[in-house]
Amino acid sequence: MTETTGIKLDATYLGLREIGPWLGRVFVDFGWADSPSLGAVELAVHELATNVVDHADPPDGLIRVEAQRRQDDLAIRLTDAGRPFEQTDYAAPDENNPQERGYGLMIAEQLATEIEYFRDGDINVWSAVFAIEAVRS
Amino acid sequence: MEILTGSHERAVTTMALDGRLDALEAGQLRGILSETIERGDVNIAIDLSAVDFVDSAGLAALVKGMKDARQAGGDVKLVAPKSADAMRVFELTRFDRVFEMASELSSLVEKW
Repeated sequence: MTETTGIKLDATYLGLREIGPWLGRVFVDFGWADSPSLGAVELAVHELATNVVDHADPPDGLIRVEAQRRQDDLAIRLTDAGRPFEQTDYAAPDENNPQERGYGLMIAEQLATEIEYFRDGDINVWSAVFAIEAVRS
Repeated sequence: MEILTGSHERAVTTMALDGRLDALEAGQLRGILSETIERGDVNIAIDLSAVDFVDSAGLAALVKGMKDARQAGGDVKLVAPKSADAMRVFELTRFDRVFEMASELSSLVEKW
């Protein structure tokens, strides 16, 4: 079974607040209402979208997000027309000198089973797949 | 997000946050922490128990405050979020081991 739905977000921190409610509706539509995975997926998608706001600065001011159900997995695709993403190295926190930034992608990578970035012409594409945990009885 | 500040007899400044600590709100927290530390109140306990979402920008504001406070001879300690979703970012980045965290504000302050 394959179902797809999408949303356009303003590429602003305020715009990112639509991600949680939209994903909540996606989970219901895809038959995963009350799944404990919702919060983890929201955080990962939020972090990827925050990277777009912070670094890509898309000229149309938009981030497009699509969700597709693939059996028990959720595939998410974020696209924007902004500057190419340049991956910077990140390191695990050092208790003696903890870094302040650079955790967004690390967080998303830990929450997704797959995550990929590529350029499609002038478009940035982030693709992530999440294993959705069934509702706990 | 609302930030309520107070003080304690053990010279600990307390802050209580609720709602979302995300990129939209992180700047406000960063500013309040900076002002607090600059005026010499370097022991800060932040109650996150009513926060239901924390992202990497919110975490960064807390880390900046912790580093500045420690550099000034104090610390930033946290009451852990009750929400598993809000706690997740600390666990994934292992900052749950870097910050001193407790489940109640009173126990955090009394151990100072």
